[in-house]
Amino acid sequence: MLFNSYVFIFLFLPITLLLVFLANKYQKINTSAFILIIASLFFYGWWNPPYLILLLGSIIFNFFIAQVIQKNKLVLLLGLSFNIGLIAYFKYANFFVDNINVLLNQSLYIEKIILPLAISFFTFQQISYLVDAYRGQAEKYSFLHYCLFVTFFPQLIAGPIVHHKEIIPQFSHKNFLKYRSSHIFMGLTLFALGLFKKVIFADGMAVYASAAFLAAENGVILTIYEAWLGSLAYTMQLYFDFSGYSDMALGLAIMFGFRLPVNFFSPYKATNIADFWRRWHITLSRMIREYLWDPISLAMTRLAVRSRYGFIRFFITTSLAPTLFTFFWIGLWHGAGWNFIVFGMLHGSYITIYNLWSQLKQRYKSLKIITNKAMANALARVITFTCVVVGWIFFRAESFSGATSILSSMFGLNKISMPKSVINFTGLSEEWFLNNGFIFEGLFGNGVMGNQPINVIFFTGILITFCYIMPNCTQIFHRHKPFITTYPDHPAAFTKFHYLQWAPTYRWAIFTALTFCIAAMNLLKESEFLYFQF
Amino acid sequence: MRNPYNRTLLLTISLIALIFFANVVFNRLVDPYGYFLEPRIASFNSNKIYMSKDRAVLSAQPETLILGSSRAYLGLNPKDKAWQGKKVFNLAAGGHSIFDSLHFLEHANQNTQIKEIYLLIDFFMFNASRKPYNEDEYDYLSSMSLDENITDTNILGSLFSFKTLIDSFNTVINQNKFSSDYMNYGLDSLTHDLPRHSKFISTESAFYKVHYRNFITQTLDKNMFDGFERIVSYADKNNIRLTIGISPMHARLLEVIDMAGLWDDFETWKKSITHIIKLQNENDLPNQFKLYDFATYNRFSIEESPLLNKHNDVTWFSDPSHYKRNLGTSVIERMLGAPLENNQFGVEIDQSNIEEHLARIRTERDVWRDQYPSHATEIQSMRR
Repeated sequence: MLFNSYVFIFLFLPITLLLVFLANKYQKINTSAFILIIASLFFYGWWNPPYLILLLGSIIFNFFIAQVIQKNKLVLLLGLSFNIGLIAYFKYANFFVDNINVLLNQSLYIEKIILPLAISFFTFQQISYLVDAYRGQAEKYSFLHYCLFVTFFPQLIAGPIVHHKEIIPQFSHKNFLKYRSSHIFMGLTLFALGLFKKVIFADGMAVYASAAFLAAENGVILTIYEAWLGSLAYTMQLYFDFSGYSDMALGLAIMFGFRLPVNFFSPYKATNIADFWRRWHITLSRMIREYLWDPISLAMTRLAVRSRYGFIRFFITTSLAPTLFTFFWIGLWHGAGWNFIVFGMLHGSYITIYNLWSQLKQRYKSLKIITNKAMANALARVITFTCVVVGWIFFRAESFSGATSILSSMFGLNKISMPKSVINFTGLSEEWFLNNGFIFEGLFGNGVMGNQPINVIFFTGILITFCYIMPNCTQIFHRHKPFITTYPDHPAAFTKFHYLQWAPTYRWAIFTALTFCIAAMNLLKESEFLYFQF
Repeated sequence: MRNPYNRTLLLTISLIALIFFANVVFNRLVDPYGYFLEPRIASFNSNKIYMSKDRAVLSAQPETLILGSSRAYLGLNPKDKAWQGKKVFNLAAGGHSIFDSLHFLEHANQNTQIKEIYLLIDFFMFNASRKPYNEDEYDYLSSMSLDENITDTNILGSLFSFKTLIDSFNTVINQNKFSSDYMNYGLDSLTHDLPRHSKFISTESAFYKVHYRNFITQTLDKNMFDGFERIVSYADKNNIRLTIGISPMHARLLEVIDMAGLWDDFETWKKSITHIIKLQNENDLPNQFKLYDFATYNRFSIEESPLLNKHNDVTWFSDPSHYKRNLGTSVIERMLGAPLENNQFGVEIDQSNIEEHLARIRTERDVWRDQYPSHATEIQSMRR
């Protein structure tokens, strides 16, 4: 079921809330937890009921393993291989076979395996639980609580990826699964904001982004500004889609009295690429940091210190190698395709360059050229943002030729593609342009997307500005915190948006109602969330 | 209520409920898409400007259908006098492929007995590379009926929607601007812009890029001629008289086909169509299907189109792909049996004269090129 569907908003959600609260009032808390689990399973099984077996099997197996693990490495290995095997089969088997066929010139064939919804999310969550249980850092939970932790529907399909330590203790809180008007109201505002981001912003951008990428995929050479518009539109679409989804998840969770971790903290305001990854899909980054990056980088640093490497070898061992390794897996986590691997490696290289640059800057103070802090920040933001935009092109494109075609259009690498109107505008002849490295192709000039790019420029421009000047949900709800904050920002970041603080006022009531109605009335076509495929 | 949360929450939920309730009631009352039979109040909502065609065809219960792409949709007026009083419905629509025509035909025929079809085919309707074909996509058509109830999720969803609200408003405001009769026969309000050179160029260029640059009639999983054959045999099985026309287009667009290197394919396409009809006609002697070719060089299609910085009006075309209704009248007349003028507009073709017909078009193409060299060069220079 999708959050942005009438069935969910007007039937599933109110009925579930009502049943859970009633059960809590007149029955035991465990009854309402049980109802919530059943509702979550119904939510998951809406599309493809058979995959419920997979979800339930995975929960039961992992719960059982965690009970008997007790520092036994063999049991841990068994558990890990089950989870990794599951995800490897369902997510990567096709990709693996295809590549083997190409590499070894074979013609192995396996059926196209349909990716079960949310498998990357619930498998990841449970792996971290197993590892913690092995380390002795996880308490013994009841099966009911464990089930609820995995299946709780707001976070089941596309995150935030929750950690058992921050969720399960909440189950014994006095407000857990109880009706609180404050929770419902905050939840409604968060949900309305998220829905608006998804339906109006992300789906609005999708039209332009899809057109540009489709055209490039089919061999149309986009003009320089079309390529930029297309990739900027996708940059906006992806952010508003995923962060909208996350906001909705936070809102839904708090209605039930849950606080989920915040997944985004204005990522496009980041001043460097490491900062970007602290703000983008935060719950994934921290999970990767804790269970992959930290152990590897610790081991590598030990090795480097013990072997007394010089600067370059030290840098390679402690920074370059672990970063690229980690980002390879981040890329692959997002999908079984070479484009995702390229996306990961690209970001890995960004981080490496950034690390190198900051170390050099520490060594050689003269490298600090721009001393004006505001200017340096602005420049840093533009550079970071551009790098991110380039990364998303690989993320989105279906083939290398598509991605490289857009990239070369953006940076004029082949020929600079222009709309024909420049001929009249400049007064030079068409031959002059053709002889001097220009060509005339693209979407607008040919009426594929209408003749006027002005609407697209306007809409994309508004959204980019929006990303830069508006506060994020953590800032708006700073005082009430209906979620777990995940980004340690300077307090000034909060006082700055003092006037936009959420409060139980009529103003916020009207704003919430209008935002909700505008978004909900535009749900003509239920469009899926981009992160559902991961 | 002292708790500020109770007050504000109550306000929020009441506002949401109020807005949605008002929206649903208004949309249900106006019913802009004609989902419900009642209420129909004159000069309020009886004229359904936005009635969906697939639904409208059910209530219109026509005997004669027009099928095809946007050319047939924009060019053929179902209320044209040339129809001689037939009960015609124009079910053609923009971007329709031959498979769309097939499924819309089956849909229209499900509870009305269609007697005649005028199928206007176009070369690009047979492009297999354009959009994926999936039979399931048309499932919604078979589940559609006139007495659907409100719990159907499509209908329920549309009552909530903002777009429906806008359409409801427009329905009420524009109630008397169009005649209701027109609407219910699959025609909507249409204004033809004054043709400009740039509009010709952009249409031609889009045709080259969207339709002709990657033109194939067959992919691994579908053959577009199957769609055509299925229409022919469907018509035969259901005793429907089928008349097929190849839509008129401007000579410049014919030149685009040549520029894209598809002239031979274009000829083969016409031959295949002729062949399929021949096989059919041999099978069923009493019900003979006819094929008329309007996509030729004739006095309409060779009319001078606007050149850069010149604003000559175009009489027969609104752009090189779409002919105007005045030309549509001639198309209807010819397909209904009016004699062929001496200008090759609507030549009846079959196995016996196809080769000669195609050869003649080739000759006339060269004549046109000599007559309008600047047009021909302009088109040929679009190629990349």
